[in-house]
Amino acid sequence: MGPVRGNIGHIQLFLRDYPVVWLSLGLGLLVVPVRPEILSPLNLETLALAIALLLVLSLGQSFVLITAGIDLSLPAIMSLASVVGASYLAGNSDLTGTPLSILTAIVAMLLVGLAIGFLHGFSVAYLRMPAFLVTLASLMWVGGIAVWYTESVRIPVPEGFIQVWYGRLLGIPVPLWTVAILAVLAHFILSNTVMGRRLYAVGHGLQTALVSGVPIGRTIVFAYMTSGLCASIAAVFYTARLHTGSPELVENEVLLDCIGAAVIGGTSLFGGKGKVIGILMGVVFIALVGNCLNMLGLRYWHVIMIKGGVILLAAVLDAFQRRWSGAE
Amino acid sequence: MLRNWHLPFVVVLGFGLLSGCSEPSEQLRIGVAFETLQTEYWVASVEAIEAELRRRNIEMIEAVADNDANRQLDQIHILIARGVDGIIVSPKDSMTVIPMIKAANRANIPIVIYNRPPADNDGQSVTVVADNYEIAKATVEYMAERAVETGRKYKAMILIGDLGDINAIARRDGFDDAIRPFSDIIEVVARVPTEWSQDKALSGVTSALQVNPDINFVFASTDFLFPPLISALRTAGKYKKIGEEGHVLLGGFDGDPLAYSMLVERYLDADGVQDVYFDCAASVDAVVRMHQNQIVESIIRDPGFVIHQGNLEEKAGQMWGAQIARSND
Repeated sequence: MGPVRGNIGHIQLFLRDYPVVWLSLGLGLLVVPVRPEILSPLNLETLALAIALLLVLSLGQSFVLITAGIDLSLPAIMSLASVVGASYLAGNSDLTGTPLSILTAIVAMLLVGLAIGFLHGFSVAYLRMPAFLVTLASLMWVGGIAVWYTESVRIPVPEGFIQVWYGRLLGIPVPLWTVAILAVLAHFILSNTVMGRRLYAVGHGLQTALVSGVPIGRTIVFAYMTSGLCASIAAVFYTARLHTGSPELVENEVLLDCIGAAVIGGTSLFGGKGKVIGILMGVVFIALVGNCLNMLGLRYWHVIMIKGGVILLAAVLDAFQRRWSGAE
Repeated sequence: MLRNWHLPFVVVLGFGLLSGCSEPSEQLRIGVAFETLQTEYWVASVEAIEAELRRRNIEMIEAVADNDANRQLDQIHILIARGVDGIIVSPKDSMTVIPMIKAANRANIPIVIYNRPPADNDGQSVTVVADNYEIAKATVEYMAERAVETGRKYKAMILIGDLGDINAIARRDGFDDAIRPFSDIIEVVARVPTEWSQDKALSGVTSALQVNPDINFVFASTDFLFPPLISALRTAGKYKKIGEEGHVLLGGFDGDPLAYSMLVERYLDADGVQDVYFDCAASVDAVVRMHQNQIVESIIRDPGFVIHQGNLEEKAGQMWGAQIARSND
């Protein structure tokens, strides 16, 4: 009985810590009788892939949020990485279309994210610039470079690259494997490494972290580079999925989704708090809301009103919870 | 976080959701996925498709992606999961629609591409599209002929759309080819990239008018860009009626209500018109015939027409923007 009781206890704790699970279950239970097609294999796969895409971005964003920062540049990083990778693949190199060229394109895309992330981290940590300002500016200038570089023309990518999204391993889409590995890695870094503890320490307070000997600059740079890297990985998936390198790969609303998912999942906008499992729950909820509302045939503005309302509510509760815990 | 409030919230959310639903029915169901409803052209298109579907007793399931191609692909998958009998999609561009066509083909669901033709691909689809090149060319030719009549020299500006959109390229090419024979009197001095954005158009046109204050011939690749264009022309003191000193020869493309008003008020010289009612009826007809396994030609072209001061009375009845403007009066 002991282990069973222990497991039940864990589940109870989990449900208490992440009530968003109840929300997701409740939402699913409400929609299934009306739209049983939501449980169709095709829709479940669509939902799982939407979760994977959003989870990549939310994981990266969470690393920054945990340090009490924010990264508003993700759509621009994704666009620039997308056109860099696609234009490389479209070049006249003898390697075009080969696995090596695809691998090289992916590496180039990842380097774009890492480089921009480094710039952000450096600006925030060493130049003491506000994260909001630095990354908002990048949203413009990096996005501008993507448009200038392509003159707004979309660039088709070869079939081999498209398989990065559409390929399957053991019957499961490749992106799901990739994102699962990323999530486990992120969990490991946050829970089991010195860098993870430093990220939380920086988020709790710079002075305390400094006194504790945390290398604040390097930690912040690491967080922003991780965010840039995750944006680039998302760009690889989006580009393959849409068969196209595009300077307007995603709309800026994706920021609301990934920040909202992190906050709903318990990551604090004030830093120092956030776990991968919570982020996953938040992502599942946000993706499920979008999927259910589309399934119900609601108009787009209904979808964004409800999603925006839920995220706002989560942010308000986060603020209240901080105030209450401070009072205690 | 999110403690103690989730149950009432679920109830409220659920009530809201369920109130927006309807029971499945036996009638045909067509998914209509639009990239945007940002302009009156797209709104008029959706309404015309809805009216045509209603006339045929077909249920419409609408999805709007708000300029996000990835979201639109999700919506196509969801429409397929809902088991629609056909899809009409107005995509963001010619490339990102290809995976949508392939997804519909895999599900054996007929798909019609509205207004923006796809790039070359091996999927099966039908495209309904206005002849953007010819309509733009005819519009600009009309403007150029008016310029010749004045015996003056002209400095021209074009507001170019999103070059990821094949229609924007066709309109730009139509402009260039129409201007070329008149290069002795018309010099193109400004090409303003707008990406179909009013903000970008306003800043681009304002800058162009500062650099070239003698611009007196302007073609906008969409009527949607008239508000910022008018604003910039007014600021520069160049928004004058036909016949007034300093009138800028002005042309547009779409046939929206504002263009009609500008024609009536004699600010606008000519406008290329897409026949929304033809395009929408043709799209619905094509998707229904494909559902019935009939053969449908892969491209259905709307020849469109040019409306100008000389044929305003005659053509206004065919101009979708005129009908909306008149119904609003």
